[in-house]
Amino acid sequence: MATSTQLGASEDRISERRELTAEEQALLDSGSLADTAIQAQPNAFYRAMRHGDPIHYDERLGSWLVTRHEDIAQIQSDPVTFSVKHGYSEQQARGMREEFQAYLQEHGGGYFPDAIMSDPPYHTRIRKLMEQAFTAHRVKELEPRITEVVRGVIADVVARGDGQCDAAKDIAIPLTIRVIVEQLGLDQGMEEQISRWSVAVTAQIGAMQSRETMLANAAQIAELQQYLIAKMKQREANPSEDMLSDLVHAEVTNEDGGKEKLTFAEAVSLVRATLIAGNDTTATAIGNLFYVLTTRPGMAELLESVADDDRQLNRFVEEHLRAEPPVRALSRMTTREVTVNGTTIPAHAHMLLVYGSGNDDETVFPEPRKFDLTRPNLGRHVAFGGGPHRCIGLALARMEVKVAAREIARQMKNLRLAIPESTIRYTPTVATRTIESLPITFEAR
Amino acid sequence: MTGRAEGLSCTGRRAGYVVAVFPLGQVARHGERFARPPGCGINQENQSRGFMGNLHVTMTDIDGVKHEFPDVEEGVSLMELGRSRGVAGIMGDCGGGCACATCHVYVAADWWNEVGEPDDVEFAMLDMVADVMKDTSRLGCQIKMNGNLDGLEVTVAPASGY
Repeated sequence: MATSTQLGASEDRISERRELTAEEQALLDSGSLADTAIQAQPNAFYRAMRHGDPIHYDERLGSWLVTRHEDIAQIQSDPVTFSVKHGYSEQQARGMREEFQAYLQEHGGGYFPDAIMSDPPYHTRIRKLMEQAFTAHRVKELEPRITEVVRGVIADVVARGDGQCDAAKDIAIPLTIRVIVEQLGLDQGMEEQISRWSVAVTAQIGAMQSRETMLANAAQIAELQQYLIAKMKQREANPSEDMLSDLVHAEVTNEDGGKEKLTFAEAVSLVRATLIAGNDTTATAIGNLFYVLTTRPGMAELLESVADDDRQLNRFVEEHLRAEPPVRALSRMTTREVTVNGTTIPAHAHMLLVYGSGNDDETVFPEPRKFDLTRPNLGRHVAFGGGPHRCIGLALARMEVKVAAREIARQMKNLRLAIPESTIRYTPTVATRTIESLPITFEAR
Repeated sequence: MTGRAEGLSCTGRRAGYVVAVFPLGQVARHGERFARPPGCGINQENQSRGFMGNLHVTMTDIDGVKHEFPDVEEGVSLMELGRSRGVAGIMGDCGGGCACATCHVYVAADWWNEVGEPDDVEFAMLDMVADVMKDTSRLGCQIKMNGNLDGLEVTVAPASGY
């Protein structure tokens, strides 16, 4: 690993490459993150890249995969050289962006670029507007209400009495949707639509769509936008006590100190981002929690032993987010030719920061596949990214996972997978590692 | 759920903080940091705005450089101060939400009683960087300057380890 990094000399930093076994070399040569089998079980591929070619060009994807923790940390600290705005927009509906935009212009009330997926200084102003919404202290105040929602969702499933459910579709997804819908001030009872819309939005950065699926997803997004626009028009006329009203009427403060109202298009993009980011990845984290509880020996007992100890439960959640990060990889694009850790990347190249690999980097987290509550540097994981684009809803996400973990331990026991582990399907996407459906059996406690 | 999403309401936000401030140095590991990215240096305008007060803060950064700030306004957090002045090791990724531990400081022993203990929410975050946590650890975003803290001295904690 690097021994020294001097101010202004980071492009000289080179850390050691490790020798690969023949098997690892073959995986490195033939593997791609576009391969759905690798997407489902990615750790061996991550390790081969991380050891042998830490910033690896994935030809099939046309992207540079950044796999070491130190390189991810460096890149996310420099949002000017490594642009989120261009990276995101390149990734969106990859190869079909013009058609995607035109479809939304025509059917979705407009094409609304994501205001938060932008670069400084514009990003800094938008971010500032959003970042007090879910501070850890405000989320702590929400804990009793979140507990009530989560308890209700799980209790309803338990009350069905048949001891089986789909942990993703019956618990994880409706739970996170109910929480964010309540915060935004949208309508309850629309879990099924919102889940469908969320899948369609996140598919845009998954790099796995055919033209047909892109158009089907675009139709879903158009429906979502029409719904949000109608709600926002209502709040524009009659504000109420919710985030929707706040965003519709929000102002940002410019560099010169002057205030400027958010445009309606910016506000739509922020409501959409809050709704989608506020449910999809957190649901994935809770789905993954059920997965480890039903498949990893000792996990259910471990959870049970920490469920009433706030400090240990916080550590359990953080280690879970490290070990099973919901977001696999997010985009950047170089704005100039740049050398990172000995690899020169051309200007305007698409990159993916592979958080799933960064969290498995054994130079930061020894024995990364071991679930270890006692890690002294848990906060170093990159499940929420880092730098100025670090996940804005991280405190809310942690709280939802924590409350879900506690309620699972209180209401359910003897959790078992109801299907063979090998048949679990992961959503085809480079962006997240999401279990689509997770049938389980359990007993009521 | 009752309770307004306060951060999104602009009324009552202190004008002057909501400007383009930007994390500069990024801690790579103990005692190291990556280069300052080009093009997102200190916003010079910001230096003269929001910090028109007369409270004094001494902040020693992760490279051991001692910064003296004699012009800090009441209400400014140590995270905002360090981030806007480019103090190495203060990043403030989450924007002051007590949710990321990238503005971790050690309070000088003489000032500990005045600054006080972290609350449970802050302690939970500090616990995530336990390897570099000390008895006098606080998150800079949770320490807001006031007259009683005039003269405060802190040292920026190194990043949690590799």
